[in-house]
Amino acid sequence: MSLNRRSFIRKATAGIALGALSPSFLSGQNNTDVKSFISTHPTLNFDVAVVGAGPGGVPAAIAAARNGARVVLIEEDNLPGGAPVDMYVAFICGGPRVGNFRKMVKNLNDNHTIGGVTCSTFGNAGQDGKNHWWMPGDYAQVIYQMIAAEKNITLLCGSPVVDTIVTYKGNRNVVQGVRIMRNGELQDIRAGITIDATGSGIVAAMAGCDYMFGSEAKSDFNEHIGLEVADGKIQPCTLMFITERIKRNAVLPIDKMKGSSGVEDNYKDWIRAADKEDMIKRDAGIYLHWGKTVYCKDTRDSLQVAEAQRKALDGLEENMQILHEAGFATHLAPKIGVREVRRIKGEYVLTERDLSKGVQPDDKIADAHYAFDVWGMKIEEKLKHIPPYGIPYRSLIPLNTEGLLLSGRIISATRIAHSSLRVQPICSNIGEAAGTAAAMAAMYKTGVRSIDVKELQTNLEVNGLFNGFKRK
Amino acid sequence: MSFDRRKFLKSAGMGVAGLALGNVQLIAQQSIVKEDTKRNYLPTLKADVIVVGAGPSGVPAALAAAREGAKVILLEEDLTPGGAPVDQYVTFMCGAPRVGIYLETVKELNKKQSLGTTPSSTFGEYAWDGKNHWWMPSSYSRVWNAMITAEKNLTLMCGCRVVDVLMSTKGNRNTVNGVIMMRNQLYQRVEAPVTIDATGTGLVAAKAGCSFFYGSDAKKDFNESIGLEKSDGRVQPCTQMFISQRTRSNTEFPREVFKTGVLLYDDPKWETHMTPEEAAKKDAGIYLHWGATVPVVDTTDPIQVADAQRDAIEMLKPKFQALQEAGYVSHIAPKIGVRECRRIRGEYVLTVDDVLKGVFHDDHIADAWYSLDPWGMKIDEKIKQSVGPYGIPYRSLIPLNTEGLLTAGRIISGTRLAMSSYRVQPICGTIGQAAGTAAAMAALNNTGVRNLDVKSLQLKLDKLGLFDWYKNVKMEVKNKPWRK
Repeated sequence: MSLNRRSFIRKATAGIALGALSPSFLSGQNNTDVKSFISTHPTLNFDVAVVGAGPGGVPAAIAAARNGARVVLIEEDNLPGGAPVDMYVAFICGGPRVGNFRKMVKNLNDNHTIGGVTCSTFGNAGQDGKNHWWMPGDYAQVIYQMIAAEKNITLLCGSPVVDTIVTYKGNRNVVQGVRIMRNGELQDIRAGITIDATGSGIVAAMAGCDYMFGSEAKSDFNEHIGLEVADGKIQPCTLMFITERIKRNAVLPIDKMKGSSGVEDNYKDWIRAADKEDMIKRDAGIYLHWGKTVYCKDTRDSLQVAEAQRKALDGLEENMQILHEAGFATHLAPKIGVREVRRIKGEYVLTERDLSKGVQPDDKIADAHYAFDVWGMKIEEKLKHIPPYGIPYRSLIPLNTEGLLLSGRIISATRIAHSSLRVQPICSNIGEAAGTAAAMAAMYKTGVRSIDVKELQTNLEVNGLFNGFKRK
Repeated sequence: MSFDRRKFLKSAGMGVAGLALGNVQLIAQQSIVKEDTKRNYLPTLKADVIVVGAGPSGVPAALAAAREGAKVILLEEDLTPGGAPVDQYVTFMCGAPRVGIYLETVKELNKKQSLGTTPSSTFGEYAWDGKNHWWMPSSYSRVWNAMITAEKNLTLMCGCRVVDVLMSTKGNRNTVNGVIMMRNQLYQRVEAPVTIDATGTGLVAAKAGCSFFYGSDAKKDFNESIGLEKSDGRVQPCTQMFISQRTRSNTEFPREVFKTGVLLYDDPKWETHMTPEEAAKKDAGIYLHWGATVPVVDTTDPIQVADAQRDAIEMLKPKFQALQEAGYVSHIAPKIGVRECRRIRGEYVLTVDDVLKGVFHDDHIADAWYSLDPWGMKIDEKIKQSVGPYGIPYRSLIPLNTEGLLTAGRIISGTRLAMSSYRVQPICGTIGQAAGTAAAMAALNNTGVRNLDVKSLQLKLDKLGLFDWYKNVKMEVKNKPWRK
């Protein structure tokens, strides 16, 4: 095989690692062969691979690592954190706040309050009837710390996953890891168990798993809330932004802005024009806004998401100009907030009926409590607010697939059920369960289906995951 | 001692190094886009010109090509266009001249998005008033989105990551026929007679098999009069930028915590060069910080770059804390600022002597003026101050042995020292505009990029005002377009 530039660099890769690659090595070699795409990076092997360092992934990685697995946490962005960091979804919604999630928000409240002072009413789980949010950069810092505290987690940022490594055994797909892209080159990451914590379900989709996308009809799963006829629609996307004053006496022009409702940190209500006098007195000076909501037909396509973002940006032009004239600076979220993508079909599909009845399944691995919250669909008040319920382990196991667990909002559920469980505290609780289960399956070399669910539940219990609804 | 990820990866590399060739053959037999039949391919798109990378050189390139009448597709991996000013927070002006599309951009920013809320009255014809100007990252997104939308021939596709290049071979040249990009799970081919690599990393050219340089050259490599005796393969370090801003009205900026690297807007002085009285009077309320600078061995590897970002943010903890205690918040740039990556070898390699002697080659297509500014390398102050305007030759945009591809921005063909001057946004913008204009000409007239009538290209650029500053401004200008 003729010497070409790429194989030269591959041999010199060790050289780069030692910082000694000289340009005079690189000559003008002609590449007359049809390009072949050989990876210059060796395969890495782990016990558990978590794809997506967001609200469903970071807790999964931490839980797997503390249970003894060697974990790789793969993130396409440069910073870890997901939604709170790049979509500015920096605001807590839903509960219970237990386990890892509680540790994270406690850290944020103790060390990173926007006002500079720990909120005294925050209490044990940040449930004090007030709105709380933190700077995206602070989420990133706390998450870095929590990951670094675990000896067995390798964090790979800047690594988009381009493929799932999968083989076919009998009538099941077996996931063996993922393939990432590193600036044009590929690298295989192999693991006993992979966790899809992408929020989009792309790892599962690339593994060939069956999934649901868009509204079902009520009758599909015998639900009492929903549409008569399925319309395939998903929830719209919202571009968030943060505003702060530049000049010290600038006042948020809330009376002039149309839409872009916002919240202060550590205050119970949304800011409204009628409230302007009090708002000036409170002098927060910094606000988190639900900027503009637009409909994106297919959130599986990053191009369509980007177009939705551009549309949202256009729609915000007027408000941003008003803010600018009032002496406020606008920090737009790098990515538009996406609420819903795929829902992977699992061994059990969680439905509206389950949630409305407050189901506590035998294989419950996470507590959850949040109303049905489908943007774009009107649900009667009395039907929206539901009791606490439990997430069954079976909803984390994709049909006909081994070696893969689901985490976060992509677990197996109908659209109505998803609208409740999609919030960060619940995604985090699901993540801890997924990570613990993955570690068990990897260490004991069983499939994800064959782990001892009672043992899993005991493990989660010990780590406080079920303390949310226990009497104090 | 905590688990060191970098060591882990290195040892993994060493461990399988001996097996590398064999293993790798098994795992990735072919181009990633050939393997799987389950890969979904969307219908092929066709254009006259493809620009990869919607950043400081790509946006002007795409706009320029569209304005020449070419059908242009602008591909960007992030969800929003902008590149360095938007995701690395490199939002201030450095370097000159400010002409063409770059000037359009900053004029619009000054007119509508000035942090002082009124446009700077001294901004002038060439955005030249001896003051420091910077804008919100989101301002760049808004201005460029509007400029892109205004061009009917230009299709912006964000969320689309280029993963491969479409190539054919003819005689002893590779021809780039387009690219393959990935939109989440979906792949799509985009074909065009001319592609412009405006990635800042040189990824497209690298995938096309072009020769490139990486890291320091030795002086003798290109007979340069200054530089290193021995090449050391190093690139400039990376800097994590951030923006701090007041919240409550009774806040005071904790300036004693910041020794250097804090920029206010619309002022000739940096924060730490002001007296406390001046600073209090200016009372800026919003600051751009060169937060922490970290070396990276291989900036082509996003994992190493992300690692460096983690280290930089760790280093900044005490500063973030001080700001929080003072009632300020910090907005951390989503990406760490990368100054240098690959340099694609072209038909001419611009050297530091071209820069120092102020050479304008016959085929010069962009004016440039900025000091030699290689972070991490010491250069005699007198030499730095002596740098005058010079020209970027068209040949530096044409990769060796490759047709159908042009480079734009900092990845053009130059030595590392030369690049340390032309890497700044105004110059990258002008190079981009030239590349875009040339690409449109080559595509629409069906010539290769080499057979372009360069005189004709220069005439077009002249008409667009790209050479106006150099023609009109005296050499003895008081304010040099670089930081003290």
